[in-house]
Amino acid sequence: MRNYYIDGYNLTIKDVAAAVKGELGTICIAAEAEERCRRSRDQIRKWLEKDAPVVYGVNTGLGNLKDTVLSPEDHLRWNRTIPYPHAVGMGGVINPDITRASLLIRANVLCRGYSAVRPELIKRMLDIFNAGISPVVLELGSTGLSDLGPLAQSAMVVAGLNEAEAFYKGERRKAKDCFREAGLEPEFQLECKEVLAQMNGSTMTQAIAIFACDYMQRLLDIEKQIDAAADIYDNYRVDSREKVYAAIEHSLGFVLEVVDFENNVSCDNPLLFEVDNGEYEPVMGCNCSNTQVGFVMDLLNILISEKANFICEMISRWGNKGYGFEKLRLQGASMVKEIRAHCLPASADSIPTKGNQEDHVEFSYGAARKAMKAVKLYNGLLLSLVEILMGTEEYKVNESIYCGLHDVKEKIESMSMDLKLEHD
Amino acid sequence: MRTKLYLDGSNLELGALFSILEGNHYEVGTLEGTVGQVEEELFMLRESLVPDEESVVTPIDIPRVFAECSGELLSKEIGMVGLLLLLNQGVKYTGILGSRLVDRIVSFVNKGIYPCIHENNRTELSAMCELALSLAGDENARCFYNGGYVSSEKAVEDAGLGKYQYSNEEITFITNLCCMSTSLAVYSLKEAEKLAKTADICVAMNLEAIRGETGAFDKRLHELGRPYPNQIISAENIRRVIDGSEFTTEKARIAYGGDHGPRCQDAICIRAVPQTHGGVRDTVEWLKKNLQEEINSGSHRINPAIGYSIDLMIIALTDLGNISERRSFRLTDTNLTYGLPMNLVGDNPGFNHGFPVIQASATAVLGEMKLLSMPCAAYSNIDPISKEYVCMTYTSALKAKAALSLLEKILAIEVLMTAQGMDLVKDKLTDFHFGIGTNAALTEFRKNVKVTRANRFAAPDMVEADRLVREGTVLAAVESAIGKLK
Repeated sequence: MRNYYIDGYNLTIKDVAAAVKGELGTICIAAEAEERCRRSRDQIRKWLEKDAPVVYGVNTGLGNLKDTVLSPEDHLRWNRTIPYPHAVGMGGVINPDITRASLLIRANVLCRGYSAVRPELIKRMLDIFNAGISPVVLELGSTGLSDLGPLAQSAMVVAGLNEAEAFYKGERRKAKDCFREAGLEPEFQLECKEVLAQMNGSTMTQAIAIFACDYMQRLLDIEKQIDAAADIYDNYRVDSREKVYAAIEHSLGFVLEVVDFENNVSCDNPLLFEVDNGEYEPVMGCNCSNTQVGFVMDLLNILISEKANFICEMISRWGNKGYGFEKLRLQGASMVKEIRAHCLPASADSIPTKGNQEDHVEFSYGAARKAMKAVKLYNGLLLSLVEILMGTEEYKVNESIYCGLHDVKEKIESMSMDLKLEHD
Repeated sequence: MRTKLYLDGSNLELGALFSILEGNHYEVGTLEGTVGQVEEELFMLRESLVPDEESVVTPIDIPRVFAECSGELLSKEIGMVGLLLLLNQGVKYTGILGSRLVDRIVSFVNKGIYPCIHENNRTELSAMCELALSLAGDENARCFYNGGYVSSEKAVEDAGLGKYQYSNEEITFITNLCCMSTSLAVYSLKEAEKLAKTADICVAMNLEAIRGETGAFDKRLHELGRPYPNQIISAENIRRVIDGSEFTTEKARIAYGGDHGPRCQDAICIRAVPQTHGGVRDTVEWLKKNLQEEINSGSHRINPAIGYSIDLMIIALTDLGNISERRSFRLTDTNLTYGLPMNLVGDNPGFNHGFPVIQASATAVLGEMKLLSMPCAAYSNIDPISKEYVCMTYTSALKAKAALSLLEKILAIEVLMTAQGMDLVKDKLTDFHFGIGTNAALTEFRKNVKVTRANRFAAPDMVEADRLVREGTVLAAVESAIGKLK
């Protein structure tokens, strides 16, 4: 099996989707990325020596405890517990394909070197990814201004903490046991800065956004096949369809551009930048804020809603030809309305958190979840349409068209098996 | 300023339209239109407009039926931009339409007759119909001519043009275009660009007042860390506006004495500004790209992509409101401002009340703004009677105008409060200097709104602050001090 190298600058939506399916082979860290990481990591080592300056997130506590200085020994102990209070979560369990994709995306981000983690951490994350192991992550509790909860749960898995769980070969088990069976070390000691470098930033949002984009593109391809088969009757032709579809595809281009860009950005704190003498300087910022992704996920929802109008029109035109269609027609109309309801933008809201320290949040996580739900509804809508067409005399009489629709129906059904935000 | 613009159907630029919106007048001429593929649809009357024989006698009866000539008027400049957009399409089709229509529009523009469209037009079609009525010199339509608002009939008479008789093709052509939503979108784009810059200035002023950390604006975080072009620009703007500031230094933090140990990080509404303002700018830029294309391509009947980009921009602008409102909020709390007086009270706290209720009005306006963030495209549908797709772009464009007016007020409150904060911090650190840009902003603002030392009627200050933001006065002062912001 061939290898695929990540370097922090070139990962795309398509790559992630393909890698999750195993189509890219084994994912590895590129040599130049490894070198970048080693060099910035050397600086962290220096800061951990005696008489080093106080550097936030390197030798201090986090958030309001930033003034507490931690020794390197304390730090290692601390790393074994600090994911816990961050590992918030309730509700169902996120689709394992998504949590596994999140490992890959974060590994890629760390390859940029500004986060100054050891290449060993990146390799550990990729080992887990390559072994087909997915962190168990509870779905609710992230604002999107860093997916602290989901990513802390993921970091617990990477470290092999006792409580961490993972999916492996379709079963939910202790992460350590999965690692043993897959021939990986059951535990991995996270060193200084390596917890924050995994939790800070919104990579679970990104993973969901990627899945939403990828599935939507696949559904658009499927829809073209439906149109190609079915567009032989005037009754199938809805006013302005080509123009609106072109506008939607154009706009989807903007969504994809942003999501692709966000794959390759440094999103944690502090970032280390090289200064003249080969030393590095730590700089605090807020690159964990992924405003743009929240915006385009809200946009994706709008585009799906527009598409849904046309599918709904088709359903009501063809679905009025027999009592047997009534259920499908009503279901379809209902799904369109649900998609519309999802257009209420997540990004236009913000509620202050953490004693007013984090007083603007993106709700991008919610925006991406909502977009994913809309994609799923759209999948259901297409299925209703195809079922109605297949039950209609006009399409039944033409064998090649009927077979074409049958093929498409199977594709939609098989996609709906995987197209989900939550694990069953 | 009188500049002549020669249009050929493919060379119209947003800059010229922005200039018209600023009140400048252009003379126009036409070059031979670049006729692309003639789309038949453009010369087919849409089915819902096909009249029964009794109701329509002449072509102008169609716009008479569909236009809504009542209520408030959109600005005359928005009407003029709509007319230029119509001209820019018209020159492409003189082969079919003849040159009469184009000549008529050219005379209209060159004589300085501004068609005024009523806000009660809720659809593109009705707005385009009113534009047609204006151009014809119909008695029901309104124009701005020779310094005043008059009926179009009077305007064309006074200008010596006389009434205009449309051909069937011309009416079909006009009612198939989307010039009015495009004009409104161009207006919104211009306003949004202004407010995005103003929001950066608000942050700079806020940083001065709270002696903020500037590390989050370090160019490396943006250029190397998360290099979204507009994130880079927003951080750069703020660095430029505060350039020269002594208040945003450790020295001032120590001298003021409001800090207890190193800050490490300011609140998110300050330090996530490049990411948030940058994200907002991305949506504004996307609208701009789409409009650059649209003003020359001229969509027929529907222009959904413009609608999607406006809807997205309104969502993003609401978020700009979210983050500004939180920055204003922090200014009311002495702990969150590192020692500014509670509620920014000037003198004699307790007797004097300061800014808490002014700040809460930003919250209230934000609440209204959020109500406008629901995307109109979510309500598009296939009309059950005509079976035509109902494009919501015109509605989105009208809504953007309303949203921008609210955002302007939220930012005006931040300017009002940060100016107060700057004066209060300066009271204590008299020897320290503000940045060149922030100093220019404060100085200009103070020419119009004085510092608040004691209780006084709040609303006039707020209304004045709103005017200064709307007219771009503070922005212009900053730009004349440090050069154009990006």
